[in-house]
This record gives sequence, C-alpha cells and structure tokens, in this order.
Amino acid sequence: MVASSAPRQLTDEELVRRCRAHDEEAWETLLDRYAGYIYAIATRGFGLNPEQAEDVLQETALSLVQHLEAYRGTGPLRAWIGAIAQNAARQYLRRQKPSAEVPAEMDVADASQEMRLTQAEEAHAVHAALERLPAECRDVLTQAFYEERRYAEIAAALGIPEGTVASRIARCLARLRPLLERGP
Amino acid sequence: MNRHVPEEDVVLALLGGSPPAERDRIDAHLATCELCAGVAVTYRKMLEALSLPRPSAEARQRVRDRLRQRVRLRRFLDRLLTDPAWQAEVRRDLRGALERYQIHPTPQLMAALQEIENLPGEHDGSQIDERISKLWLLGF
Repeated sequence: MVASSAPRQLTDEELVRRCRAHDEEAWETLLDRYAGYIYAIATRGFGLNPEQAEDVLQETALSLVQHLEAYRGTGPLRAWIGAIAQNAARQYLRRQKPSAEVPAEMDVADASQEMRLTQAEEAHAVHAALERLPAECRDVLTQAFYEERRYAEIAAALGIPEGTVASRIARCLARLRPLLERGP
Repeated sequence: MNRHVPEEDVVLALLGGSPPAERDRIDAHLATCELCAGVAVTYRKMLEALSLPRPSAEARQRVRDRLRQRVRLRRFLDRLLTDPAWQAEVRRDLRGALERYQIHPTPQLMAALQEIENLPGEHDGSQIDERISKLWLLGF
C-alpha cells in the first residue's frame, strides 16, 4: 500500500518506495531533499560553476530515475546519491576537457577534494536537520540562507520588525544545533 | 565574573547582529573560554554549511521539469511492458498516448518510440521488451 503521508515528512526509505512506484510528488521531494547536496558536490567538490553544476544536477536526477531500482538500501541513500553525483561530475569534466587536462582521477586520493566533499556532506546534514525544524524556524532560515533575502525582506514576509530578524535567526539556529548533533 | 555566553548571543554575534560593545564583550569571553569558543566553532561551521551555494529557484524548476518528464516516461514504458491493450493503443496513436501521460513528444523521443509503433501487427512480445531496453540504454 502506498503511504498517504505528505512526501516531505517521509523517511528516505519510504520516499524511495514511492519513487519506485513513479510517484511524481515523491520524486520532487527527493530532488528538493538532495538538490543542494548534489549541487554542493559539483561546486565545492569539483569546482564547477553554477551553469555546469546545474548540468550535473540534471544528469544526476535523471540517472536516479534510471537506476533507483539498483539501490538496495543497504547503505544510506545520501551516500548512494553522492556517488552518482560524483560520477556525473567526473563525466561532465571528461566531456568538457580533453583527457589530458582532466586530473588523472579526481578521486578520494585528492585530500583537498575529499575535504570539500566533506563540506558538501555537512551542508546536507544541516539541510536535513533544518527540514525537521518547526515551520516558523524553517521558513526564516530558508529565507535568510537559501534564498539569501535581506533582513528587511524577511521582516516584511514574516510581518515582524526588521530589528528582530537576526535574533529570530539566532534562536532558530540554536534549535537546529541539537537536531544536527542527534542526526537523522 | 566571566560567565558563559548564552548560545543565542554567540550566534547573534556571529551573524553581526550584536551591538559593537556586546560583540567586544563576547569576543573577549570567547578568547578565554574553551567551552564557549567550541560552541562558536560549531555555529561557524553551521553557518558555512548554510551558506554553500545552492541551485537557484529557476535551475531547480528546470531540473524538476525534466525529472517529471522522465518519471512519466518510465510510467508510460512500464505500462507498455505489461499491458497488451496499451501496446496496441500506442501503436495505433503514439502521439495521443504520450499526450495522455503529459509527455512532450520531443523529436529524439519520437524517433526512439517510432520503432515500437512500427512493429508488425503480429509481433513477439519480446520485441517490445528489446526496444524498451534500448530506450533505457539510450538514457530515456
């Protein structure tokens, strides 16, 4: 039976089950959940610009549709998606540059790249924790960081004085920290 | 007395939301208190993680549109594999069948699907399987 919960609330496991049944809403939720992570892998891990990173995001998303059946669920979905995104980024680079210019293997052997990929992991962990915050905190943090809105815009959107936006963000970040430490 | 700084105040200072005098007081405290300095490091990393570039709303929308098309195509092809009546329908009116699934008939897709449409009336079911497998390999 297909779960009736809103896809946003679903665990990765439940989301995968619905995606396998070709549920468009579930796929969009999966994309929303992991787009930032994939994009961070492309930009931070592989130094791609926004346009290139969008190509990698698209390739990864389409690849997920094609290969989701192969995901066995033995490890975290994040790691599986991360591996697909890294492959997509490598293939993108190979297509763009003559083989001689592509670093031999932009792999874990490159310590600085590994560090940058770790940052992408951290960003995903923060994003996943943010999704578990109450709506009022999720909204203010999304507007401030992901949408890069100015405090005046956030204040207008939330109907609060501009001078209180920073303290609200601070309060919400303080609520985010324990969720981050607790993990998924 | 050098009391610990509340977490929210540390974050506010990192966000640049504290008055200068308060900021100085917090900085002075962080310089001498390992516990609060550790809290500040955690929040700094959190702020860095939140500030990593993310795909724009437009980029996300473009990817979402392509993804939606791909999911519909998978649903369409899955049905094609299992439903003989649908196979007949697709062979009779390919465009109409795609429309019912809200799939844009791009030239590349039409060319690939034409092979199914052009199968002879009396065909072996495995011929459809073969052609769909080919579509997978082509990346549809």
